[in-house]
Amino acid sequence: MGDGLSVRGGAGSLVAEYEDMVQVAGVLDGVGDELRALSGAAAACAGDGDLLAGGVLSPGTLAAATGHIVAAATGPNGLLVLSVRLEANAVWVRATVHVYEAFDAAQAAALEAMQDFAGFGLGLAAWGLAGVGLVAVTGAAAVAVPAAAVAAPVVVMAAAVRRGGLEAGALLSGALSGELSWQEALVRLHGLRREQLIVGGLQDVQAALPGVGDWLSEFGGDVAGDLGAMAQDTLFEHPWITDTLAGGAEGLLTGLAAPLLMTGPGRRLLPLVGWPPATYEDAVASLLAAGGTAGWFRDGSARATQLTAEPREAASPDGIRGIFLGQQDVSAPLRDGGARLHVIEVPQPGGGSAWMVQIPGTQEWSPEASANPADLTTNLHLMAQNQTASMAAIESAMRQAGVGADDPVMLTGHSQGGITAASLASDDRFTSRYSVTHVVTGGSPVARFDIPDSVQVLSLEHHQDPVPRLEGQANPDRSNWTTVTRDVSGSVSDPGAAHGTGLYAESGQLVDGSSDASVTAFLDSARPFLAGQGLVHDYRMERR
Amino acid sequence: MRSTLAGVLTASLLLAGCAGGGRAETPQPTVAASEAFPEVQRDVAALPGVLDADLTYTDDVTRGYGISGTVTLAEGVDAVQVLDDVYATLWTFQGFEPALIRVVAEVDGVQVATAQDLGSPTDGLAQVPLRERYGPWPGAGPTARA
Repeated sequence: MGDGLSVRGGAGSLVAEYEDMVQVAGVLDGVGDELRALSGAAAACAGDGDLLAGGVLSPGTLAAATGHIVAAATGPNGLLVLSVRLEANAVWVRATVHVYEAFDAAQAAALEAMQDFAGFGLGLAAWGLAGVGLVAVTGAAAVAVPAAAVAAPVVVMAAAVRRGGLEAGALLSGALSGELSWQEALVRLHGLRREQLIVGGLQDVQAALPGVGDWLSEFGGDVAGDLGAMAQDTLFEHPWITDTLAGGAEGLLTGLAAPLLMTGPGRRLLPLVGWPPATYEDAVASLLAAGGTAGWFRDGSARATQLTAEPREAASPDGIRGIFLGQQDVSAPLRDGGARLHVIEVPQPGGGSAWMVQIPGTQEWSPEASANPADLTTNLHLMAQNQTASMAAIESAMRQAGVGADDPVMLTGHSQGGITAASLASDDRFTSRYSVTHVVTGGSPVARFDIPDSVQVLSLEHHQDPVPRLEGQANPDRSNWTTVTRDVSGSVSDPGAAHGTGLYAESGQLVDGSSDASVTAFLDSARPFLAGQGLVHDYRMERR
Repeated sequence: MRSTLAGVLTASLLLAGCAGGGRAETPQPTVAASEAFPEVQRDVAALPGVLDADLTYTDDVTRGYGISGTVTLAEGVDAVQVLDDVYATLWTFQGFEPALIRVVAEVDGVQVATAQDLGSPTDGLAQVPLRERYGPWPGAGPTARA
């Protein structure tokens, strides 16, 4: 497409054609049944009493008429044969669709199995490589830097070797012996807060710390910087690496932790963390369990409180661009704590209201659950497909705003907000209370959520954004799920920029102008939500 | 165990977080965004033909690094030319390299020019086209371009 967008799924997709084919097969089947019934009725005409009575007067005519009736009913070109042909065609169409679908599923399963195997190998290799010195580590980093799990030990190793000092050596020794985490070693080495390390990425670590650049210069090189830049360049230019690593997450984590968990005291952790993980969700659950032993990732409960006594009349989204501009409005943490949530009431011309719920993305990155539920803890619980405190807070806000059980609801979110939206839309308990009809996500890994066919989904993803790839598989190719992907290599040059809400708003503008059949079908169906004017109910979400 | 947890934490970025952040191939900012922004906003407001500049910036991992807002122009000016100068001025901002600048020009509350008038498919200009149009970040401003 000339707008740089590619579209998968939705009403104009191949899967929609599969579904159409199955529907056609059903029609053929039905017509076949009717023809067979007609052939029986027609054949019965041959024995009709009146016809037979008339035959007394003209036996030749009777014979001819009976012959024609029998031929029409059961002859080689008759109704019965035609009905059988139609039904055979129906069977063939269905079988063809099933073969196509089975082939697609087999391809996906084979890919995931390969990713798991590769992940396991990479996880084990990371430890082996850590022991063979700077050259090997740098080489390993060229392959593995996109995985933060590998990059942290590599950077500490590189830093320690290059520095050559007692302090760095002691840190390295501590990290290798397990007395000190790799993060801790890196943090101490640079006097850096752990949160900065998590959030910023390696390049920003350099930027955030006065003195790190000097330190790197002092030792005649910029290995750590190179690794950080290499990681980002590699990730931006080869986004499939994220797919492979995340798709093989079970294997990667198993491989990474195998040496720790299968020996010595680590073995005691096995029953606690559910090792080895068999699925992606298991892998995340294992992370949660392991973190829980240190007091991390405790989600607890959350509440929603009104920020203003009355809703305010305001411009509301009139398209996908507007939705992501709205996501920008909720994406900053509130100054006095918590995260902002917008529940937008859009009055309908015929009475009643449609509702758009705009859910924020990640705002806090500490592994310890904070008062703000838009945090790392919620990310992990969502990806494990657990119920989260933020989901309960959103439901509470909707109840307070007066969303009715039959009112149409659109859930929107960028990054974590999109994951939460998908999680709510696939939660039977939530959907039994609210009529979720639409979901819009941007930069969110949502492929593994089982969103019902009754919900229209539009997922916007940037090709170079690693975040929507974090679950390692593509969104389902379904007629109710339109995934729009934009190549942003002509717009930005690093993965962090590719994830920005502003860039998603820009891409939303292209989506609004798209003539793709799936996109226009989605937008047409979403018109009740996109009036451009509404009542905004402002809420604060807080974890207790 | 701490090593395990550390591995767990870092691997979790792969699995569930917004792992974006660092920006490669970019000169490092020399001034804090909060300090540099009022200055560039004043520079924009001082451009010939600009009556007012209502601009904001975002600079976090999730929202991205960008500048957006509205400039109010005097009647009768060449709105596209002035908007071009506005973008060139904002490209001099030293707080960070913007991934996206989205500013629209208005006269008496009516939109008169957007980035689409500068050749963009949207109403904003992203990093790469900004570099192509105004040179490497940070730019030298409209005077240098002219």
